[in-house]
Amino acid sequence: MTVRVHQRQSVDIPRAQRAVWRVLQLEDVPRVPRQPGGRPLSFSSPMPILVSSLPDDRLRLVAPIQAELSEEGPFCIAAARQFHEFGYGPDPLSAVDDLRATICELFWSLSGDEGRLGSDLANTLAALKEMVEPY
Amino acid sequence: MPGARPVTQAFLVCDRIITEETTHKNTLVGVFTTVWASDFPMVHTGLALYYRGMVEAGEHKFRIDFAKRGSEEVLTNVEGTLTVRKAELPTELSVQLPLLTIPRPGEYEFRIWLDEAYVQRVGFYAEQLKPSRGEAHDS
Repeated sequence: MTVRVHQRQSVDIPRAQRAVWRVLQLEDVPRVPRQPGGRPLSFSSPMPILVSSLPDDRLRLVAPIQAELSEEGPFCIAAARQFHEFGYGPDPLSAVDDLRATICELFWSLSGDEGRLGSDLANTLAALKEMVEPY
Repeated sequence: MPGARPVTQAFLVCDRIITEETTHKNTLVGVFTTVWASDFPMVHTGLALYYRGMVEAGEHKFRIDFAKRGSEEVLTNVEGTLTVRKAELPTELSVQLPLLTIPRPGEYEFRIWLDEAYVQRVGFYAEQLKPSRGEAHDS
């Protein structure tokens, strides 16, 4: 089912934009197996997934991160190669959520020690700052 | 299409959302974490989703998938276009789902995607009651 969301703005209370969409009949939608991002189910090679938000409302991504999903034993791994960081979990989105949390922790941790970092960690922080900004 | 770059402030599942016509204030009724049913599959009526976040201005493709947690099989979804006029103001989305089929007990989740990129998910549990107790849900 495809719908178009129209935002409604109030002149009297301009603090928030609002949109309401109503789904009349979800049962019309066929059941289609799908990987995150709409790709076929396969872990034979790393599968890319775009991530556009972080679980910390003090941080914002400059642009979506392209992470790679893969399997390692019973775990799924979500890797962000530009940061040399990864997350893991029992399923793909748990791994992605772990990666998102890791990026936030790393950003705050390295930012707090910015003046005392070695070259490797300073490079990691520089890469993070290209992709993550305080909001 | 520019990236949405959302900063999520809330993503909740509840029974119903009442939007006041004049003020556009939203009232979330019955925020819950567990649905109880005597039989499965069950058809849940009157479920709503509330998303609030900061989203870049422009037109964004959105999709909300409903799936069992840990499963890649999307049981149902809704997709469309979201137009954001002012990025500096919060965007609120209220999604009313009149019917939702839950195939079996377990943990389920809604996953929201903007411009084909994963944003956030919110889950709830579906649990089985003893047959004589009927159908209800609690928080």
